Formats: sequence, C-alpha cells, structure tokens
Amino acid sequence: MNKVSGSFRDPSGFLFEDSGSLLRQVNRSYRNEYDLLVGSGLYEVLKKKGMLIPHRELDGHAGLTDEAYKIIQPERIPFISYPYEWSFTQLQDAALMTLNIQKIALDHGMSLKDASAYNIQFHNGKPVFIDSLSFERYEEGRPWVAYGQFCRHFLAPLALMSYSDVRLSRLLQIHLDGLPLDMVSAMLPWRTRFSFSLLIHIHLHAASQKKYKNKPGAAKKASISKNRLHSLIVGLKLAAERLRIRGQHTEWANYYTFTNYSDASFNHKKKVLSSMLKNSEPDVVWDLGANTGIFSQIAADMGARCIAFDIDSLAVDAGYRFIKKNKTSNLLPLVIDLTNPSPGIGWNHNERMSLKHRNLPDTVLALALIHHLAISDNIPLEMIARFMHDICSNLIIEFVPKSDSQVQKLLASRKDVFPEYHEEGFRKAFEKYFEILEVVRVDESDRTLFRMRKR
Amino acid sequence: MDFSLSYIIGYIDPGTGSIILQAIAAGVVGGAVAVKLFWHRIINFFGLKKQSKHDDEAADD
Repeated sequence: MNKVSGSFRDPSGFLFEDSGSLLRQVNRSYRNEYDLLVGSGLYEVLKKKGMLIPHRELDGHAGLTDEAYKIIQPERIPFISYPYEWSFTQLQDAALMTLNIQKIALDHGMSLKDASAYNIQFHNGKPVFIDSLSFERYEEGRPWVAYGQFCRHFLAPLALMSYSDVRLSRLLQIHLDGLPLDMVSAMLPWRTRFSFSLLIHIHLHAASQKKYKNKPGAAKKASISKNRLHSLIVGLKLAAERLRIRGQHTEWANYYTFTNYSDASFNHKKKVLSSMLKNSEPDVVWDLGANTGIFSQIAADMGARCIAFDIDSLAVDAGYRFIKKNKTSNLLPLVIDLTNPSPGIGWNHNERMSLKHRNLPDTVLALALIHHLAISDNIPLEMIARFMHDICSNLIIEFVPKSDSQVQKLLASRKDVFPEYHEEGFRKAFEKYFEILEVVRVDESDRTLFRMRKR
Repeated sequence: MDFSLSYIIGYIDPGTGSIILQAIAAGVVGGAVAVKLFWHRIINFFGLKKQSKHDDEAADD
C-alpha cells in the first residue's frame, strides 16, 4: 500500500493505492466534517447532480495509518489531466463548477475549505469535483477561506487568457498554487481596471494582499453575513462566465480549415482510418496533433476512450465545446506541446505526473503530424518512432512527403536539412520499433496511412 | 468573532489581505449583483439584448 504522491497537504486524509485500487483514507481529525457531508445530504445532492465523484465506504479496511476514521473508494478517473492542459472553456467550466458546489455547500451548512483547480477532473465529458474531503462546517459570519485560492487558480488565469493571450494558461504549470495576483495585476491590460469584477477580485485584491502582508492580525474581526457571501459567489460566477476568448463561439466544423484535402480524399482518409482502427481494436486512444479532434471522434464512436491532444488551445477549445454540445462522454480534448510535454512537477517532481507517467493508451493516432515534428521541430524520424514505441502498442500514422504543399510551406523559408525525410527513410526509422501491418495511400493526395504494431 | 481560532479544519492560509478584501468585496459586490440582476431583467424585459448561448448553458447549471 502506497500513498499517492500528490496527496499530502491536507491533514484531513489522503489517497493511497491498495492492490490496484485507489482508496482515500479519511482521518479522525476530519470525522465531524465527513459525517456532516453525508448527514446534511450534501454528498447525495452533489453526487446526484454529477458534481462530486461518487464513492463507497469500505467497512473493515484498517487504512494506511492509525489516524484512519473511514476508508472510501472513489470512482476511478481513467485519465488525470491538469489545469495547465485545459483550454479556456475547460478552465471556465471548472471554475463555475467550483462556485456552484460552494453555493450548494453553503445551503447545506458547509463551505469549501479549498478551491484548487486540481480538485476538478474531466470525467465522462464533464468537470467533476474529486476531493470529498474539501468541505468544512460553515459558521455564520465566517469569510470564505478559499476565496484567495479561487482567484489565483481560476479567475486570474481566465482573465489573462481572455485579455492578454490564451497561451498564458501555461503559467499554471509554473505556479502550482495558482497565479500570484500581483503578477497578474501587472500583466493585465490597464483597461481591465474598468471591469468591475476584475478591478475588485484581481487588482484591488492584489493591492490588499500587499498592504496587509505584514499585518497578520488585521483580519481577525472580519465578518461576512451568509447573504453577502452568497452574493460574492454569484459575483464571482458572473465574473468568470462573462470572460471570453477570441473565437470562443467559432463552430467546430468551421474551425477545421487548414486541411490539405479535397472532399474525396478527406472522406477516403476517414474511411481508411475507420478500418485501421477497427483492425487495432482499441480501448484507449491518444490522438496526437488532433486539432479539434475530428478524427478522434471516429475512435470515440467505436467506443474507445479517446484523448485528443493538440498544441493549439483554440482548436482544443472548439473540440471541447463540440463534445460538450454533443454530450460525448469518452473523448477528452487537451492542450499539449508534444515537443515539451507536461513534466513531473511539484514537490520532489512527484506531485503532478508527467504525461508519460499517466495511463498510457494502447493505440496512438498521429495524423498530419510527422512533418511538424520532423521538419518544423527538427526531431529525427528515429526519435519520433522511439517515442511512439514508448507510449503505445498500435500506431496509426500518416506520412506526409516533401511533395505535399503543407510540407512545401514549412520548407519555404528554411534550408532543407532533411535528406532522410522520404517514405523510405520513414519506413526504415519506424521498422526498427514497429512491424508495418497496413499501408494505404490516401486518394487524390501524396499522403500515406500506415498501421503498425510494436515490436 | 475571532476567525483565526475558528479555522480548525482549513489547512490553507486564507491570507489576511484576501480576507479583508473579501469582506469589502462581499459588501460592494452584494449591492452590485443586485443592481446587475435587476438591470439584466429590465434589458431582457424589453428584449434589448438577446441572451447568448453561453448564458443559457450557464443558467442550466
């Protein structure tokens, strides 16, 4: 039995692994709050609404330490993702979920004692709160302890993405407890001071933190009535949901504009892919360089659990809004830079897992990707093959030759230092790690789809 | 009430500046939210602003 490495800050309990199962120990110090969570009906309400991960209590399990009050087994999330891998709308939905939970908790006499974005996971196509130990008894008059954390983890990055640049969500990877508000206040354009909510929750908030930095006793008498606290939560909700990014309402279908295909070859590619996917009988698929996830959808339609990774946050956002609208439960779009995938970070490099240390797929799709890695990013074909070999057993990959106009574009402004970049060189590099099972040329194009199995 | 003693379960530092700002914000925002909701009701009543899709979705929560 091992404690999960990212679960150690909260003295209320922790996650641990026991013969392949993920369990949560509830410590005796959290007994009253846990009993209130269940006894007040809050747990049941949140579970029914799909807002809190359901769990079952395990009787007769001694736990990992002698502080154990109860051992619970939460429903397992098959793939853990992190806020720095979410698109704008995903982070926004996670923020709204947190506030909705806080509202419902207040109605049941409880309050969130933390508002970390890491307490949210995307599960079955929707955000869900995963930390059942985040609730404490609410006392009339008490301010919300997690208000500052909420602003750092949600409002600040959303504001930066909205007003400055959508790529700034990557700052969450550096600041694991959310973005420092003084930094965000300095980075945001001046006009955000005319936004009532950003003026208060970011700019004045940052100023207040600075002013009271060395006056720890100053807040002792602060008191907020329950009604006012409710208004504050509603105000935060309005603030979070009114933020927008460019193209947030672009239709998914319209987003897919840079294909290099005629309708005939696009349809042929879909058909070939569909047949190759059937032949690989996938359970878990990663679509690398998925754009909006248009091809991941084919794998998802077959019942595979699919993650659609792309570096373009706006494409991922369009994909997320599409699965949300269609209530697709087995496809998760995420933002990943494959040339610099999420590392193991936090305390002892262990708090947040690297991409490679999470549940790996059995099948990888790499369509219209290889030329970006090999030519734009100068990654040798052999190293690309080795990476694919590390993460999957079935690979469906498209080779895009130099004659393709997209590759021509990449080469237009630079020296062609890729003498090995041709189909023969591609085969040679990949055959070292994979056995090639199928090869199909896509109609009306120079591109070829390969299905391979790991050696 | 002395809140520094009543954070028994909480394990994160709420931050003095955050608490004080929150107390002020709750007052100001409380009034502003009421005004905002009232204003939107008026706007919607006269059909001056079509509700965006996102607002509809948010209202479903």
